[in-house]
Amino acid sequence: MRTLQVAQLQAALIAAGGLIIESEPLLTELDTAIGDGDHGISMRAGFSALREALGNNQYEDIYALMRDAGLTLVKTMGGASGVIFGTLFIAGYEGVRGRRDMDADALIAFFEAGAASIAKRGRTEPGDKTMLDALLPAVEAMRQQRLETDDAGLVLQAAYAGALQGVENTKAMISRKGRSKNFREKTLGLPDPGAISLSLIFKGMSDSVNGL
Amino acid sequence: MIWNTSRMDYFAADFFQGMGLAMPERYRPIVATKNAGAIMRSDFEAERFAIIISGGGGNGPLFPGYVSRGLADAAVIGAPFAAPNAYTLYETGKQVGLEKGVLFLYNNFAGDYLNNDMAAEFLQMDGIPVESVLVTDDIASAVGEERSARCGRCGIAYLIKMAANCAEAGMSLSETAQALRWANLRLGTLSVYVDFQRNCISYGAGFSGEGAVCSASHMDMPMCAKETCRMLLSDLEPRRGERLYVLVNRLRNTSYADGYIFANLLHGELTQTHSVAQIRVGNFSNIEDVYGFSVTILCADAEQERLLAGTCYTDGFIL
Repeated sequence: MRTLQVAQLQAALIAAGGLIIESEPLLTELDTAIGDGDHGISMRAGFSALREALGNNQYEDIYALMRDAGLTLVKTMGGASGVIFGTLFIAGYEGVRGRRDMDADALIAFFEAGAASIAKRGRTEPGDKTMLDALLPAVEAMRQQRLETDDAGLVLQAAYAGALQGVENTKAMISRKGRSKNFREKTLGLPDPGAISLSLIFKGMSDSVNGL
Repeated sequence: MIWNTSRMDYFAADFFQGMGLAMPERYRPIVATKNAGAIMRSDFEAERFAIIISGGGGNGPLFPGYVSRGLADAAVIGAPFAAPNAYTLYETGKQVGLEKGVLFLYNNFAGDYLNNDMAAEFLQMDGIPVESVLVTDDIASAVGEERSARCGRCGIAYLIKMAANCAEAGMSLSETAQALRWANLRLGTLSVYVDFQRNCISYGAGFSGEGAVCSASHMDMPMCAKETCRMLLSDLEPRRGERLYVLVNRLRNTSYADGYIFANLLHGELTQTHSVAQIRVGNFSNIEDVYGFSVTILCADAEQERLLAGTCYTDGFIL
């Protein structure tokens, strides 16, 4: 059974931040087509601050790490994205208080809590063409992978594959939330920028812990 | 538009710093973070709950221009067009609402409810009571969806005034929230853009690129006033015993004179079938770089009229 240590998760989040920053032009281009064009810049600002905060700190437990990651995103990103992506890390942190490592089950529970809280806060349902449409398939893929293995690294890798499938699914959806809902039919055929960002977070984390 | 400077991340902070310097009798900047800032009334005394309004930055008087005795106690804004972050809302709530609680009042946009909800949770964890009221007055948004899916526009102006009157009358935080939610259901706003290049009037266009619900190729102001009233009245369907409170908001490029001329026409139209209690003209929110107006109507019964009493003078308009 492979678990993930605090320091490994910290490095994984820093790597995910790097990938988000690199992808800013792609996210901006997409959000300009179907939203107000600020998603990429907002994500870059938030994850630059996250890299800075996490890079300069040592964490007692996973609770402290995730709390810092989530609150940094809320503080430094305006609009909807700060709360949505912050909640990904904030929702489940109470469940990992005092823990210095996470096994596959804890990892799944953590992101399940994130998905439930994001759906509630965002008043969003599957099919609304939001990041939730990547997060829910990611969580489902983690559960499926868990049936095969108790390796937390492999479960994280499955999350990325699931999220990527979710991104693909958003192309066939019409936006019903946020400012992009005003573009309605024009959003058809294009993936949701928030869903892409979510998949990049899982890719960055997975590549980091699996040494890819 | 806004001059996009190298200090854009500190738009709200710099904006409020300047307001505090220019009008220290009225304003005190309180919280400044990257991408968000807050300003409060210099003369606020925490003897009752605090009214905190918030929204995207760069809307002109919305929202800091409404921080005034008789209106809001504090305003929080984000970067231009973006909601303020939950952290800044939370810190503002702690500073002004610590004693008697906080009323969050804002327009219904995803960024706004996400951040206000999170801030409300943080405040409640600290034992500070919070009520949130969302304004959904834009009659041209969310067409074909339930009323609660509509966005907010300028109608929040009247709810801010009602909130202050409720508070002054000694109503509790939850009674006030209830009264405002009720008034919100009788509130409607419609935008009217006038395009002199293309000889076209558009009704109901939104400020984030949302399309108009209809447009007309005549350029006749009386016909435009008639159509504006028709659309608003058919949405609101004023009831017996209700009187109309009307705001004529000049959008950014509209002439001072045309605001009053249009108001006069609207008044003539409305009074043919309804009783108009008040019509105000001003620059209540100027997010849009266009020529035109937004017109707000609140249908108020005797109870609500009581909560609309009094006159507030801000640094930009009378309400």
